[in-house]
Amino acid sequence: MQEKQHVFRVSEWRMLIIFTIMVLVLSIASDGVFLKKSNIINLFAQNAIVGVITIGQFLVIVSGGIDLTVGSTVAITSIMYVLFQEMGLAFSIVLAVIIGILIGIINGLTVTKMKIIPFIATLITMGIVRGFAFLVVNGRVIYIIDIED
Amino acid sequence: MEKQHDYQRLLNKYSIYLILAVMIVIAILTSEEFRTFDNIMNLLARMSIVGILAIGQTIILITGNFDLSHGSYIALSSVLIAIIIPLGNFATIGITFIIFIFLGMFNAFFVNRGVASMIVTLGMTGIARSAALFLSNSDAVNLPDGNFGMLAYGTITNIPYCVILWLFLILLFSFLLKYTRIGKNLYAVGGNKESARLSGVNVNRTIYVAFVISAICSLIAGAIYTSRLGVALPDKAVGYEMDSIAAAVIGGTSMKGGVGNLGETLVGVLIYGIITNFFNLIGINAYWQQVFKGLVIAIAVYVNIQKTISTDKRKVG
Repeated sequence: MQEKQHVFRVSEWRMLIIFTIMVLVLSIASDGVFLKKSNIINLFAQNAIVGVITIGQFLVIVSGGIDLTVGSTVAITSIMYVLFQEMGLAFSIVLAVIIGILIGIINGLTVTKMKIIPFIATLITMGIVRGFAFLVVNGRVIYIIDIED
Repeated sequence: MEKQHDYQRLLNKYSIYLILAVMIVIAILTSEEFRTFDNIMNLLARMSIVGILAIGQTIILITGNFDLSHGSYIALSSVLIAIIIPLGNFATIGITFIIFIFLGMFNAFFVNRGVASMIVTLGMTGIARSAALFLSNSDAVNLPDGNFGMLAYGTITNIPYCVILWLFLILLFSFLLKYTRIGKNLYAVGGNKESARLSGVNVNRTIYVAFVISAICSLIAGAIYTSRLGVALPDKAVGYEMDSIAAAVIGGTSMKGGVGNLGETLVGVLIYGIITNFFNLIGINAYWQQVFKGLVIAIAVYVNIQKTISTDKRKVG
């Protein structure tokens, strides 16, 4: 019984096993294209956004809540970044981060002070933030300008 | 002192009705268009979709679960209806009911095996949406000529059929919740699953019933949606699950289970619908509408929580 940690238990390795099977199946089904360097890089590049959001969402879910605002927050922070890009890279990044922090604080306060449960609190801020995101650009699409450096 | 307390309690108990009344009075006083009979009937007809979804959602929330599949359910049901309706009305009702009972049972099957309802029903969102896109070749399906539009636009003494259907379903399921054993079981499971099981409630069967009711409500809402549009759009009706959850929660349904009733959900739906209608009528920019809508919902939920905190010292949202 002391040797417990050496016993192979499927439950602990479940995700890794599923992952390995997926990689194997995909590699075989795609004749090895799946494992090409360009595809792997693409895969990471495509999932970088969700990957970064998941880090934050993980923390919220671990603490027993949920954050539905992430989509709207991505919208408004990216808009802020692009809108103020002429003021310089550093400024617009800082501005976007501050907006993100503000939204987080508002969510946190609605949950802790107003005692609205996370699902509804973030559902409400999701709508409000999305509304503001449309408002600041008046519903238009704005583009990143090429900055020569 | 005692009187003051009673008055306070009464105010708390009916606070959600008070908010609705204040909103209606403001809307009636400030907008001439709002107080016309036609506008109110139109409003009710449009809200009947979310209203019927909210019935299913309330019942799911009472058992302490979520159903996030509503939007995709609507897309699937409208595509199914448009495809099957040439076979005849009874065939359509029969086949779609069987399919949706099956979908509800699919959700419940996994919920009963310990998967969080949020994840299961999120998975169902993908399944139902893909099925709708697959069956329709990702294209709009036209309804054949017929009288299917009657469901949304036909009236009996100027009251649309879909509104009558909505009110009928509220009465039916209110009766189910209040006076039948299965209704009591739904509350028991939501209040405390373990003690419900120990006192002889068949928890699994109750969860099955809840998810099947939710699927059927979505099917009916989907029929009204299709009837209103006159065409089945497989990629539309996104986000209805959020509307139904918001409406149910504004009405004071607890997201932790065990608390809620359909009368107050009706009030929640009305608050939700009247805000939009009122903002449209007085011509507020659509983007500001989203912001104000969020704020009004926050206030309504906050006020309603005060009620539950003050009456039974439980945190409910």
